Amino acid sequence: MKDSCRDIRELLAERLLGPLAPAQLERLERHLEGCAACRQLAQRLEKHDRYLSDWSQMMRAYLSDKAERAAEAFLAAGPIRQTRPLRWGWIVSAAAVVMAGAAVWLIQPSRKDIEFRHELFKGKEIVSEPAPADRISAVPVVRNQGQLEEQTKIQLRQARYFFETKNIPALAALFQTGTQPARLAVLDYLAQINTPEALRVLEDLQKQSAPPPAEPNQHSAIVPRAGSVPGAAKKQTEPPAAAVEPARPVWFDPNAVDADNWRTGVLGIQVIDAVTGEPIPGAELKFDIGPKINIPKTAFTNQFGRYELNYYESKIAFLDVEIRKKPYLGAQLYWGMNSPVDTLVLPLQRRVSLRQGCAVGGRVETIDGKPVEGAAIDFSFHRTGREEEYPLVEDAGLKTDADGRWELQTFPCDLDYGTFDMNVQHPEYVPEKPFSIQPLPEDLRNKTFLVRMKQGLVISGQVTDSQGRPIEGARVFAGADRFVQGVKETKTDADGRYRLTNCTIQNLTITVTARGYAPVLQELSVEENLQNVNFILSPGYQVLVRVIDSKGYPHQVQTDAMGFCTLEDLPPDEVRFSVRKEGYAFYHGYPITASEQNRYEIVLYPTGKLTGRVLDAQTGLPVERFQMTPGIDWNNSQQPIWQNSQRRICTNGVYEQLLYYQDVGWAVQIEAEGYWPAQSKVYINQGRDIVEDIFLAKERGPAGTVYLPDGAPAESAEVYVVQQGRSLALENGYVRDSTRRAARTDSEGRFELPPVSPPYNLIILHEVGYGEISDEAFEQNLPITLQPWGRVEGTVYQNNKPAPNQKISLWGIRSPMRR
Amino acid sequence: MQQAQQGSRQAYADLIRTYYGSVYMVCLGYLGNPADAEDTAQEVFLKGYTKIRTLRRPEQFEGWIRRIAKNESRNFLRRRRKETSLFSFPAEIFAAKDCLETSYEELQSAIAGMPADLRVPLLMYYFDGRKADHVAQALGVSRISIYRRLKEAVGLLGEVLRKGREG
Repeated sequence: MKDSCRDIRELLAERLLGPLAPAQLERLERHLEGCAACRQLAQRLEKHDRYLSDWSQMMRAYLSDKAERAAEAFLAAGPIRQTRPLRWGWIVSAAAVVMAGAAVWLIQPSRKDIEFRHELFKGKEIVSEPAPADRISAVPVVRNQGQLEEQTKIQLRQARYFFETKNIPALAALFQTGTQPARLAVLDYLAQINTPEALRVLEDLQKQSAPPPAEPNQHSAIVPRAGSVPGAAKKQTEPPAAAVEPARPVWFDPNAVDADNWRTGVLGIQVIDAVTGEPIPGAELKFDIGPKINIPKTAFTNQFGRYELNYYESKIAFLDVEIRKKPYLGAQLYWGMNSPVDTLVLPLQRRVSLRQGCAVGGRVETIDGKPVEGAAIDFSFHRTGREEEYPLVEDAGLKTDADGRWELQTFPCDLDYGTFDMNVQHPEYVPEKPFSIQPLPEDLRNKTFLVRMKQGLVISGQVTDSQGRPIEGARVFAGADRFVQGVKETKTDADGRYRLTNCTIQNLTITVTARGYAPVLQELSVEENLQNVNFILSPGYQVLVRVIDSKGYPHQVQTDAMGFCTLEDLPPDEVRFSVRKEGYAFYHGYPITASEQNRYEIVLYPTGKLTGRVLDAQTGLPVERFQMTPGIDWNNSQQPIWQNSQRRICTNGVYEQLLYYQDVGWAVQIEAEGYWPAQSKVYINQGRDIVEDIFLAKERGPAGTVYLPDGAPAESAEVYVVQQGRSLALENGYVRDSTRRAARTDSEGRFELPPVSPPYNLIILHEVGYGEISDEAFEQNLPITLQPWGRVEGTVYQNNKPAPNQKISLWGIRSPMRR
Repeated sequence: MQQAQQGSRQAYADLIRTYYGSVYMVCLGYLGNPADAEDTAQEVFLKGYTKIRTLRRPEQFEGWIRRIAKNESRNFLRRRRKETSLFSFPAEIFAAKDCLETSYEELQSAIAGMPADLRVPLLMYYFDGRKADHVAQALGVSRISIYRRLKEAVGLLGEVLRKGREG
């Protein structure tokens, strides 16, 4: 197998970090022999590896000199007080922090203080008084929620370590100095462990602790207590609010992309027996996380029934955990983002109770009462909230036996009717009713639940050429696209006959392809007693295509040395082909009409860039940080579709977009905080850099206040801008498109949006209600009051029978779609 | 070490001599600017001295002091409220040897273009005599993850060099 240059570049990197295995080395050398580009890269990397080593050596020499001077300066410095051990050890080793907000019992050093130390260290003879007793350390005060959370995690992790290594004095000391959320988390953790020892420690700690604050998450609710820091006078330096930055409406989150990659999150999962409350050791946990980052695939709980998952916190889109332990019924945990303004915050701890399952069963038979053997049964459970737990039913490979019976030993005992579906599949039969099956839980437990199936419908017929001769081996399948997979598909036999079995009543597109013939598509509504559906194929057209680059050189991707290739079996009408080669902009649909022209020449251009600076329109100075959204003008209408999924943050004042499609127009949209959004013109790739500087005009965007129906300010409402003529898709009150951006109101209901150009509507979503306002009304400063959500209820009938689980879509004339 | 913990200045000065380099490198990696790195390194050792009695495992001094360096550097950046300034090696280094080619500048700009979380491990890896374990310990991350970052950093270096040559 030939290695790609990409793989080889990996190997090159690996080689710098350590010796390669002989097999890898051989692969590398073999590739380098044949590939000049990689060889060159290898040489350059080696050179720079040498440079870096040389440079490190020089740095070491340079720094040993500096080190000497630093040591001397240190020795010449005046008195420096050392912190006493143990009491503050936790704080230092945990990167040193206490609480934001109220009740700071460590004091932040003043700026002057820091400068003073600095001077001290530079060797000037300044003799200072010993620090007062309450001036304990130069520990910075936690400035924001993120730091506080990180601190909490670190302390909780330490606490767990101490408890599991039975170092109770250390745990107590940590508890005394910990942040309030950490203290609560420690208590919570001990309560979860729930062994006699843990409970004893818990009690001891609770005795030490102040009466628990009413709201555990409000870190400002902390009260410093006498005795929590022995010997240290507590002093409050600033009003609590000053230390916490006020929450701003979320729009341009400056930390959104360059979030701290070093931060790791911890999720402690404890598995317990739902009846006895005892921890379950040795339960198997299986993880699936998105995007794919490096976490264990499987793990087992320890003797406390716990497992700790460490992950990079800033990146999680979803986490799925499967928990299994015989003889319990397994469980599945799922966390995912529900709305685009959400960031997924996993809890620090999660407890899962497993129970023993109940045996269930049932029977599958035909409508005339004969057992159906080999029907595959599986179950799906409906999703409800944001953080979810489902039963994990081992239904993989579950099939009915010769009597049509099936049984499952572990199934949830306490499910309600309608909260889960049962699916039954069989190669010959289809369920009697065309919608999903919702069994009654009692019937399942009594093993009497009966599913009736009937023979599936059959589409059959013959495929012949225009003279009536049968065509053998033609591919007949449901779907309008040759790339469709996993659908009903068959091939014709020697008589050109085909048979698609197990169809249901529906509309289908049947496609027939065969070597040497043009493909045929036919739309079909499938019903009972369908007559033969025959297809007549006519010979396919041939087209000779030559692919060259913009300088006229031929290309050899699937084409021959001169860039020629022949396309066969084409239908007479227009077909679009995508043409691509690495390094060139590609055609996403190059039209070829075989009946009109049999030679085509396709010219490829190198992938060019649309680039330029982003400047302030008034001052002409660069705007360094902005968001860029590429737009693609699919049909050259000069109205690009903004590719929100490709939006990115640029920080160096220059934007850059690769124009990787040849047959469409490109543009970019630039948004920066405090400016009107601006757009470039629409360009077609020309194989080189296209430069357009973009000027941004300063402006504030719409800002206002949202009120609840009862007149109170609406906190955490999501405000969306919907340009006129566009719609916003909702699903039960949430926006489904995760690329849509919204502002979120603060505790007083205020929000602020970046500048938008009218006409537009604002859509406001909140748990209790919904609001919509046009730009004109908004500009008149009308207050925005939410209306309670409406409900639409009714019953859907299909063939005169109620049809459960049908998707219902609602379209408004002006208002957005709901579903 | 024990003497330093008991307050001996002389003993702590020895620790400074031994570990100054690695602390400085962490600061330089994050801050990108030799003058800031030097100031921060001083701050780190001062802090280290005031806190050294709280270190319960003296053998972990190096990792501990480097973690202080990491935190101090990041606090410094936070105080200054801006991104890492453009990365540069100390100018003295360039003056020290005149065997340097223009490629050094190429290398410097390639390193300057990296995010801090790739740059710091890369610099430390070379400075520490190519011991990935050391780097991992100092930065308080797992060996596997440091290896991955190093690989990414070298890969990125290759990428930048390749593009620079073509462009």
